[in-house]
Amino acid sequence: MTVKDMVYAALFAALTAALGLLPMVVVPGITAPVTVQSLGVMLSGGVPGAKRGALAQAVFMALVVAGLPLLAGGRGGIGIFIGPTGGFAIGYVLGAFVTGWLTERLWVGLNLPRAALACVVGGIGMVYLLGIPWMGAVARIGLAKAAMGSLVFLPGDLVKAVLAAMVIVAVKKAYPIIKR
Amino acid sequence: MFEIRLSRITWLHRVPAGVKLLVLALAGAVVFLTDDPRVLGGFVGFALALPLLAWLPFGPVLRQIIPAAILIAALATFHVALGDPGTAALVAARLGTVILLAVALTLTTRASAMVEALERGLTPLRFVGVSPAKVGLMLSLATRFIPVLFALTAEIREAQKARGLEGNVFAVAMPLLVRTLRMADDLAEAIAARAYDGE
Repeated sequence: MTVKDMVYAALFAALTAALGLLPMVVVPGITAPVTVQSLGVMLSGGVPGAKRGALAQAVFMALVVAGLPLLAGGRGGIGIFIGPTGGFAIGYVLGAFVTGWLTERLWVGLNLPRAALACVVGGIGMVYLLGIPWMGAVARIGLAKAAMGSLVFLPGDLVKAVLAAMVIVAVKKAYPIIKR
Repeated sequence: MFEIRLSRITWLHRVPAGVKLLVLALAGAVVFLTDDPRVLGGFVGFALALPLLAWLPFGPVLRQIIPAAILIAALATFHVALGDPGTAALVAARLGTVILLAVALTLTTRASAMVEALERGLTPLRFVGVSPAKVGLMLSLATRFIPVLFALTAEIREAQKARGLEGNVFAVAMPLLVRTLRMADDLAEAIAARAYDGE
């Protein structure tokens, strides 16, 4: 782990925290609050790469566990990890890693659809992959019901994936970090 | 620094962070492994009694547990609707216990004490190349970056307002990212120039 890895990880952990401290957007027609925090997961992987992205999300989760109110809506503390939503928290780390890994693979000729693919697979797919079975098991509601409950967040997450992809492509042009 | 911890000191504040973490971990393990209603009832009683015994004020405790309480109530209702009140009680008892204990821990422990306890807990990972000192540096850098990000955002938004671009998300996000990435590079160089090796 180089000093640069550490500083980038800290920066993207802070960025994820800052996105959670922004006021929540209440979309009419959707009862669940839409937060922009998962943008942080996609950007952590897509801008500085897989290893630093995963590290950034691990640092962010360590700050949350330590008791800073950094999750959207001013929540925090170790309860987040052991409750029904704990899988999503671990999914953030895996999600950032996979987003970054795919972005690195698609780096040459990276465009909006490719970056969006990386964000959807990593930032949505991996987060749900860990979050939904965890919720199903801990709350004993089964996989199908847990998946149904998470479906409300999917449209918002897709919009965020496109937004993150636009930023990732623009940063590649302005200040590329991932070297190929 | 902003944190969830209460500033009014109770006896629970004085219990070392490592001890509180250990109690939480043990209680979490027990309630998820047992089906015995007497044991579960004991832990629910302990979790309910702890905030009262420590004289934690109701307001902050409620603010922390309400989101979780809504979720637990929804899950319990779901199980009752399926005609399985036993599972409803089991799920509510398990989740209620760990969340109440976790809130009691968070409300009475300094973030810095938690970071220290985490660093100590990570010491065995030294053998796989994770140095606790490096973890500590990343955590403190990240907490310092948060206010810096907000200050930079305000500055850039003002500059873009002069150009009539204050409503454009990208006109703010792009300069913010490029400036903070450059800042991170400078900072990494400055740390490396002081021969930092993380030990």
